[in-house]
Amino acid sequence: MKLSEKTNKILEYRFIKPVAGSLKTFFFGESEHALFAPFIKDNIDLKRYMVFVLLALIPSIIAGIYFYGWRIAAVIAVSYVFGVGTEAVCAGIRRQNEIHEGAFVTCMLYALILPPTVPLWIAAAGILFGTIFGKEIFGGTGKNIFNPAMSGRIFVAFAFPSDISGGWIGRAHDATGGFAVWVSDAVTGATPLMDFKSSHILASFKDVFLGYIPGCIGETCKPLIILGGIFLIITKIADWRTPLSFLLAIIAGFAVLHTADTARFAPVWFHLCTGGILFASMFMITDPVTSPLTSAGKWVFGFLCGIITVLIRSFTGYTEGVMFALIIMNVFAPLIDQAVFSYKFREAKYDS
Amino acid sequence: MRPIFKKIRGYNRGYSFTKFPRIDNIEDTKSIAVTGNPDKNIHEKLNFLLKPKQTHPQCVIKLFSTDPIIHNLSSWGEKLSDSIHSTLKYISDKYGATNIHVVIDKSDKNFAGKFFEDLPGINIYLAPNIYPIDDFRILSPLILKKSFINACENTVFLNTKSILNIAEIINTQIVSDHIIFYSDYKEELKAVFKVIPQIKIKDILDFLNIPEEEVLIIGNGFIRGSLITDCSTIITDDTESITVLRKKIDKSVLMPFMRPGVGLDSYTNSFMPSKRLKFEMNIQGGLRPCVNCGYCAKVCPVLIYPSMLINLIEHGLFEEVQKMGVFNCIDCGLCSYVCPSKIQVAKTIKSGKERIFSECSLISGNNKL
Repeated sequence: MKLSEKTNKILEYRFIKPVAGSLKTFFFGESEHALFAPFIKDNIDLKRYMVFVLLALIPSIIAGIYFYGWRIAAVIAVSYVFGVGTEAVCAGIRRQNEIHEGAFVTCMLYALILPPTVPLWIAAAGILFGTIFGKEIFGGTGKNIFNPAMSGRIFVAFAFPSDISGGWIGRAHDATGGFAVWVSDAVTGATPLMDFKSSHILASFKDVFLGYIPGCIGETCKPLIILGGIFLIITKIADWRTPLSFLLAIIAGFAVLHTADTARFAPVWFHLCTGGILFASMFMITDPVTSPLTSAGKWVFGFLCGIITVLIRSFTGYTEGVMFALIIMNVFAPLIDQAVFSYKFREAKYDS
Repeated sequence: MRPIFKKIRGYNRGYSFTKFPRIDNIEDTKSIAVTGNPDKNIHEKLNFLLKPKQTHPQCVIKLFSTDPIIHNLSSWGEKLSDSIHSTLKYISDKYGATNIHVVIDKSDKNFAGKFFEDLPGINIYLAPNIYPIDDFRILSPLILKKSFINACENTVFLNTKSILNIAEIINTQIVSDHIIFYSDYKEELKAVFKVIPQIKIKDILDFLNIPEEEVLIIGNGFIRGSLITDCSTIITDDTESITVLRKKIDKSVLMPFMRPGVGLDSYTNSFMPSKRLKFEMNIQGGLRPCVNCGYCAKVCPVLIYPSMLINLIEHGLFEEVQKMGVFNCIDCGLCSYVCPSKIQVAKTIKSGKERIFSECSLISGNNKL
């Protein structure tokens, strides 16, 4: 009796409560009556919503481990411990009953856009920054302006440039791939994008498409990313408009540039299959919180994001432009929505 | 002469509740599934119908409903079908058949073939079973090609209830009754029976041997109804149905969110609920902040943005709220239905509208509706 009272008291403690509540609702479906119409609710809830993104990411995670060894699992684990830990502390500060589920997706996405050899402490620092400054200071789930995973990634790219940009390794060459090793023993090399930027070497299509290249953990194996993206679109978790307009902008932009100067600019397929373009188009841009609400806004958002990516990749010193493009466009998402609203509701004249 | 059916096209919003049980097999329950509540404006409508012809007068008659638990045409039984048929004939003789637009459910097509055989010239439309297409504000632009407000001037809108009321007036005999649907937590319709008005809900529960404290009672359906907390409430003319559900759902489902599937009874295509979860009125998952997913905007039948509206209402920006077309809202409740964060979107919007009405200074200008 005394023990259970004590346990209850501990569970009610401000910083324990969110964790306990999350575990409870994770394992056992909550039954709460709706007291207002409509009394029936759709079976989707935020847990399922987020779990579907994780399900879509599973192929990419497995591919990451296959290419680069079990160290990937450690990176993901570190990202989860620090990311969800921060989220739990913030939930305690805000006196929430549960941890909001978005953090679980953020941590996974963040881990998958890191280089495979990233030092674990840098991975931890990045997710701490991403969660706190990308999300929590704005008020938590649903209120953030920037994509938290991308903010964390940008932070580590700027704060630890040598550790990040020197950490590219090729895939493990054993028969079992990376499933038998801790970390791939392949030599450190440059990513195909870097190669092209510095010495105009084009990697073969098969290599870049199947992911036999140095690159970020989850970004290399393109078929599996496309698979995950199609899964998200079929289940209506992600809207198809944003990725489509983004990819169209990328294709159009690079097609024009490549036709104008074949030697200087790489062909479209190369850009589509290298770096984070496909991964971002399927999992990052489709983040509902930081992209516009309106359908028209989604087209504009995706298209501008693509154009900025093309410009950064082609005319700046950076090899990869997706993360900057996405963060820049995140800022404009509410403005795009506002423009769509004022266009749509322009007829409703209002005199006060 | 076989009637010609017109299809209603161009409506791909809303949500189809086709998975919900419908009272198709009315013979089994030996009762009639139409409420007999009188339409308050029925005499006005009848006068309008019988007035000398105006310029292009129209009459839109809706003989179906897309609410989850409700009847369709073929389920009415002989007695009501006859009344509806005779009323339609009466109206078409007086009013001119070409001005009459009758909308029926798509699934009633075979039945309607015989039903409309001797009513030549009437425009018959087959509506898809998408909630809330049966709302006249949605229906009139689709049929008359003009907005509800514009159409109102020379159009009379009638539903099944009004048709039965007219039948009562012209035949001076009572054809409709108060009907109570009773379903329990097993998702099956247990009984449909007639009650006399002014009877207490408590008496009905006693008759069915249902302990009062174990159930929740919802008046007027799952989607637009309200909770009846006091069992001594009487059945009035406004009560169309009461639904009784078990209060305590003592099943806890292990990790219910890990049930993926495609195309099964969820707006998102993403979940396969077990069959028994279907009719529980529990919230799956707790309240969360809005994540801007846009489902409410995609499902909204009147093309407004519910998630933006609740934001503005919460911040008290009522002028903005009006600009964003809040008065187009028809209170269908679909935004609350689809919301993955389980926010009471429809309730907030309704309260916002009420607040704007109460602050009369804000009501000026053109609000469309």
